Amino acid sequence: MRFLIRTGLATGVIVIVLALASVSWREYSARSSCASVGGPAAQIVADGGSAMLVDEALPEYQIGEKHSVFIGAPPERVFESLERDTGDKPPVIKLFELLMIFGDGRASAIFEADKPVLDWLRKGNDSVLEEPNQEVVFVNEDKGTKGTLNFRVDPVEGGSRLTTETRVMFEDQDSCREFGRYWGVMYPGSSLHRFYFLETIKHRVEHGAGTALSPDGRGKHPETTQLGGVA
Amino acid sequence: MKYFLRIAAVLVALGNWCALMTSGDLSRLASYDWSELLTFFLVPTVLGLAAAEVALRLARKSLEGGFLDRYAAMAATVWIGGMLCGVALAWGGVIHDEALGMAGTVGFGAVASMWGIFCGGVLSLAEGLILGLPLAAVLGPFGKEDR
Repeated sequence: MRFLIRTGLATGVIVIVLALASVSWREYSARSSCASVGGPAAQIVADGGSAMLVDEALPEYQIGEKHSVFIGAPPERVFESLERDTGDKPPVIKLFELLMIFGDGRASAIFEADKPVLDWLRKGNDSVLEEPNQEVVFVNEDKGTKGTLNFRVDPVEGGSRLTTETRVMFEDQDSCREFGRYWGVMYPGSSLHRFYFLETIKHRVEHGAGTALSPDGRGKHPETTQLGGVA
Repeated sequence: MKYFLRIAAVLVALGNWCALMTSGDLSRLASYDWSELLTFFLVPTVLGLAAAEVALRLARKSLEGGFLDRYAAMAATVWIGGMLCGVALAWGGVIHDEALGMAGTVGFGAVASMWGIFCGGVLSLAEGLILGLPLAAVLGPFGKEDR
């Protein structure tokens, strides 16, 4: 019994230390991210320099996250799967949705049951920029805050790279810091959500069509181009 | 006893990992490449072994004691393993974010660790209190054999 009690005490100490570190990081992160508000020289500028729609929509931002995954399938198939994905959550995401208890409802719940994620996002955002089979950008603006969420598929050697990026830009320090503090707490859940979303699409696409491309860039099993069993 | 504890810890960790990552649909593993499969099985195995080693080093007397002592020790072992797995799972999104630098990864890693311990801890404490009963019962005869 002593071991169980000692485990509880040790856990409590570790949680307190991590909570203090998290609060300190949250404040530091919010302040450093928002230091550039109103001063373009210090703003984060998107990397890459390629012609991406998200760069047209929001080239500079204070807070953001970016995830990508390699998928061994042609971009068209990846984008088609993305279009149909309903964002089914593995239990690990549901477990970490305990985080939402501590949020205020703005959390990264970008999915609505049984509806394709992109369809739901198209309805729920102020504007949408699209380049067929390559990129879709959802833009939202509200009281000096502009946010974008994009999904982009780029052809790479042997397959495609599916990327999702979130960018948020603020016009005033207070709202930026407020969001930054919120982001500092919610970010692990949000990033986990995006990561598994991409992983799910990767596994669905590759499971349905093999894992590699033939030299002409087509899937090893071109007869499975139809999404049956993929999305 | 020590082998039973290690095997039990690894099996519990693998079982939970599979349930959380695949919803019990093991056909999903068919689409994993070898490196993903290796990671999938290696991470919970190592974390399960780590939890077992902590228990073996810090709670040997309890594990060899009466039923209540064994029950509490097994529950604590499952709890520790669950918190370790929770931290590993929570780090998944942070280490894959390409927009984070080193400082961001470490800073948000602390936040992720806290949530991992919290979410994993809540689940595994409940699980440990239930699983501890049969594990403690089975551990009894094993404890007498190879102490």
